[in-house]
Amino acid sequence: MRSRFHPPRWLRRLAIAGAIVVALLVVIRIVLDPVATHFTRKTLSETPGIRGDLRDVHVTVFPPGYQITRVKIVEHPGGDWKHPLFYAERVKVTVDWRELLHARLAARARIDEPKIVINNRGKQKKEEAKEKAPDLRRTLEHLLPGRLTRVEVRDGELLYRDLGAPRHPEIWVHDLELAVENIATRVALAHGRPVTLNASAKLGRSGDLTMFVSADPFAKKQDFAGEVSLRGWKVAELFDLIEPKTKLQTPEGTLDLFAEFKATGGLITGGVKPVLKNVEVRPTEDNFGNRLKAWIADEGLDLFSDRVPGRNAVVTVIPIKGRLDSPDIQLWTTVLGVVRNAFVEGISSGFTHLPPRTAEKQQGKVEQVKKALDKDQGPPKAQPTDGEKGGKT
Amino acid sequence: MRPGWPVAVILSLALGASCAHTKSTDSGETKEPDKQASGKKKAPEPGAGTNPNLHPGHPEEIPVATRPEALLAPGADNDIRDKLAERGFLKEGAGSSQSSTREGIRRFQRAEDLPATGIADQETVKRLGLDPEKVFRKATVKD
Repeated sequence: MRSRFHPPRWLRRLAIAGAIVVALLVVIRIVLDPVATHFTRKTLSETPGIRGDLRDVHVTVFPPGYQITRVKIVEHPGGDWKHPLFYAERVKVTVDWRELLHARLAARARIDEPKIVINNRGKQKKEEAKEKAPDLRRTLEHLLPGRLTRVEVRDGELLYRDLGAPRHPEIWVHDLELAVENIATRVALAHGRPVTLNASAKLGRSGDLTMFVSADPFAKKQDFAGEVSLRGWKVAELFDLIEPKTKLQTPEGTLDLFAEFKATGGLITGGVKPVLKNVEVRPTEDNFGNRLKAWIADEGLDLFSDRVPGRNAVVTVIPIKGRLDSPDIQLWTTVLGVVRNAFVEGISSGFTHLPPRTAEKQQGKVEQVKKALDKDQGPPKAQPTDGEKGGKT
Repeated sequence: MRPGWPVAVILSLALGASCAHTKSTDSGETKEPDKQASGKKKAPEPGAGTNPNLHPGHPEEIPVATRPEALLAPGADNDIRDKLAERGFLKEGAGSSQSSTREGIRRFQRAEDLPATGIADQETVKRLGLDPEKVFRKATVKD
């Protein structure tokens, strides 16, 4: 006689329920990615001023998150898909499950190989472009749900193109590695720590760029501090960039630049130190500094107003001093403006006294030292050679 | 066996996970400011509420510095260097200069698939096996 095993009814029901759950999970898993892809495309196409495209979206359960591959954003109307404003090989958002246990949605984002293009369309079209400029930040906020606690950028690229200038000069920052941390929306979530931005990148073909910014996003007035350094930038790149405007001849040598800044209670202080090495500049009638400022400086930030006009002093550190009292001032826009102006001021001041003036007549050693130590005498003058008439610039 | 056992197993797992998280919180690894805030009320720090640049409820001074090293707690830079040296990311005889430390951090970050900035942020410090709560200076969070 064969004994047949009859499982209890509850076990059979449980097995069936389990099988249904597994089947449902499989179905959900299969449709999840296409559904997520559909809604992400929809979000991109409904954001004003832009159009977006992507290859696919992959949703993960452990850890909870999703990944968008080959996302591309262009201006709308008039965007060019071959030259998108924003492209990223991969955007991965991971939800912090520990925060979920506290009923908070917090996530971290990693953006691989992003490329951002900023087009400057010249002064006349600046206002128009400002109105039409797509809000990339808002778009990313739509795509990234909840609170981001950390953002990482790997191998990023930033291209600034001046479409209003002849030959469309470009500033190219690449190999960008960036981490923004402790981004909090409430004081309690900041853990008593500042939000920090750390970055390193390559400027053009030769410059090593590093940047650090720490900020208290909850202070009533701007409260941030940081440093930026640029090392080994071949100045020939700078002159290639702006030659059509400055008419300067391509010099040789490298530029190092160090800037530190601190803003607290609406007052910003700091300094910029340009260090030129083996630089050779040929004479020019143009005011290089003013042209550079006109081209790229943030005119809304007057940070160098304490310099004495007309004083031809040699400065090793150019002081930064200004006020940030505007009530609608935004933290990161201000930080970028400060960095931008520090660079422009540092570079243009570094070149102010190059090439050195030639003395009217041969000076003795003692006289040269005396004049070099006088802060109002400007840089030491070159000495005329035999038969050369002095006073040349 | 009662038919409700799967529910009991799931509940036990959830409770276990929750307890494990609480344990790590108590050990200071991932301390939640909300918990601190809801705990015993601390006496106000000297000068609390006197800074006109701060909102009410703001910790007295969230540290903000021009250099990343200035945000580290006393001695933390040595801890970072020790960890880097332990793992072979600091060259022998590199000295204790800032640039050699940053280069070591950069090498470690590359190995850990983190952004190679050369600056020790919280994620880098965690991966080095250090506790960010002890490594970084921070303001006292008050309710």
